Amino acid sequence: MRILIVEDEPPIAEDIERSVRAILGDRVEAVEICWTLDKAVRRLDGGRFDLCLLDLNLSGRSGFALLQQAVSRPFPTIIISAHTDQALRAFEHGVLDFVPKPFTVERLRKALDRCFGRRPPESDAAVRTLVVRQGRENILVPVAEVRYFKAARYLVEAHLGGGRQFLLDKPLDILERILPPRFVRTHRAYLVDRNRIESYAHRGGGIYRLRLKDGGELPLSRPGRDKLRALLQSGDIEG
Amino acid sequence: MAAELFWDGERLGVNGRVGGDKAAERPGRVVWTVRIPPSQSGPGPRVLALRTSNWRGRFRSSMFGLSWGNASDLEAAIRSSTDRQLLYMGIFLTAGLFCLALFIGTGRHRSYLIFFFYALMQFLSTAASYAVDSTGLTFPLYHLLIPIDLGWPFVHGLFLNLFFLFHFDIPRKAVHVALMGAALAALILSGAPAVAGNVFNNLAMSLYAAGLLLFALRRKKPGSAAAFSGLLLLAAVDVYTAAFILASFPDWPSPKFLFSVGQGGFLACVILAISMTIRAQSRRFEALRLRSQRLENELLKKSIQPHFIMNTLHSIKSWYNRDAGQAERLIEALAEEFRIVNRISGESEIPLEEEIRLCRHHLQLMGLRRAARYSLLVEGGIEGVNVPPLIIHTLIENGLTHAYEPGEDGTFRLEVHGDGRRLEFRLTNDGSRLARPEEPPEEAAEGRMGLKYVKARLEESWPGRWSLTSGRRDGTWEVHIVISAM
Repeated sequence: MRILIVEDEPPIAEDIERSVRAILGDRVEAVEICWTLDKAVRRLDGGRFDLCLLDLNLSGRSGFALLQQAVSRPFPTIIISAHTDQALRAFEHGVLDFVPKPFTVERLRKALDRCFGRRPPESDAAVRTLVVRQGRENILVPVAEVRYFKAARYLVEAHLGGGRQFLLDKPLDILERILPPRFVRTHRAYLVDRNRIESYAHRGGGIYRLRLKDGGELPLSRPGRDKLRALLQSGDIEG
Repeated sequence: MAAELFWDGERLGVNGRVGGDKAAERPGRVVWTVRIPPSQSGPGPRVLALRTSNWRGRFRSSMFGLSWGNASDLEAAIRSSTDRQLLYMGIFLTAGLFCLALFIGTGRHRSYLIFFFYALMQFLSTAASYAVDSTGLTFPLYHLLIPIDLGWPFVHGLFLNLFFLFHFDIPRKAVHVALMGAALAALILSGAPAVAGNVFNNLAMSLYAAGLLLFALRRKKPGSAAAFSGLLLLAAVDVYTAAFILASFPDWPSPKFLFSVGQGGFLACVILAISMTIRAQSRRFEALRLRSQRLENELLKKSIQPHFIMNTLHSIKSWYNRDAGQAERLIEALAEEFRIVNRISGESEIPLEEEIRLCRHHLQLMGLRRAARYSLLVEGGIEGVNVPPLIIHTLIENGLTHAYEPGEDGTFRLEVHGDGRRLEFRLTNDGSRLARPEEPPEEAAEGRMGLKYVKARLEESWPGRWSLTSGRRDGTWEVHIVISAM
């Protein structure tokens, strides 16, 4: 695993590295530390990482510009910061977790578990805005407008109302972990807002189709059908 | 004055002793009434003769007034006049004592003392008239009252204007006083007859008062509208009185009654003006108190911000795992910084030495946190120099945040120059980030907040007499504060 630590206080950066190594052990391939915003921006552009541990407010500058850069990358971002008042906003931007300083190794372990293990996101701390990179610009896309996500090679298409689409540089697996629980993995390649589902039907030969309220049809896998059936029984969506 | 009155040849009354020269004359009462018995006042031609001398009169030319009529009517007229005088005396005495109490009780504002004298003189002058009218004072005593009776009408306008000058804090008071004094002197020296001179003087002083009050009104001085209304009321009464005398319509209401209304109303307006000023003062005081409380709050919030404490705690934890000695030093620096903050938080000014001590603890703390060495060099005399708390500290904090990369050593330089007329602080840092022209200074909200705090503190300590500029100079970032003397 390659891990990027962005932290402007060298002793704390070292402490984070030490803790990460203690938790992940041999799984850590490389740790890179950036003390400054500029360097962090350059590394985010060039490097391939599996995780970014980011401090907000580097050298007195708001970390949200950097945060938007970070969350638009394929890898997940965890915030480690003393600015707990900004936690909600960070979650809304799609970070995986927010670890307040000073942290214990246990707290950091929980965050890393959420990243590399399979721990479902908490509903009140789910992403509300997706950051989409278009050229040099970051576009903010409200999650509420997304009908479904579709995996397309290395990228993910976000399909919004009115036929709009955006390409995200983030795997469905990670999206599933940061999005609100109403997004259901109905297919290996689809993540759908269950409130937009109208019905599903068996088309014979083990092929299932999903109808959206606004007319679209999507493929539905057998595990996906099982999940929907369970939701139907719990009364969360109508047939 | 001395007189003997004869009615149809019979001497009905004697007032003093009529004399051929000053030595032979023995003055009688100033007001003297003689009753004609009913048996002698029937219809038919009568002869009234007066034998008088007036060697001690106010003016060589003036004699005296004579009125006759029904005895009870005359006495009623005198009584109504003395009743009115008593009323005035009461009003002026109360107003004067009220202002004297204000002067003693509210920080000795000169305007209250001036108004006290004004009211006192009005009281005395009315009391003099009352004494004359009610008892018909004999001459030696009457002479003592002449200066008040004669002089006061001339200077009362001047006193009133003095009151307006000081109460509404109108600039260039000396010039105004000199102008009014000169006008008064010119009037007296010109030898204008008393009555005409008085009318002219009143008019001139009223116009002057109107000018002063209009100035105060334009400056939105609290209470100026009330005082101006009072002046308008007085002017209206004066105009009416003049019209009454000129037109002499007997069925018009007596100006004497209106005069009391005018005086009473004017006094009420002045007291209203005073109370509005006091209200404005207490509001200003309250606002100042609130502002310094807000600043104190801000100071505490600034120095015990949760993220500052949390980051420092984490730093201590990090050091603890690596070098316990450094962790201890960090704890000491944090504790010392908080001890000083606790000591100075309630002060509006502290010795510069204390502020510098605080800054040095902060630099040590931040150096440990950011793995760098920071120092503060101080040049110039700092003994006896006081500064609002945390202003240098805040500027240094801004410098640390914006000027230095982590791990980069830094030197702050504080130059202090003071020569009694001017106090100057020049704080520079040699950070690599601010020396680079593309770095926007103070871009973060926190930096702006810090600067706002510094400016608010400077304004509290040296209202309107400070300036703060900042910019790059010779590869350093410089903040320059100048405080000028009053």
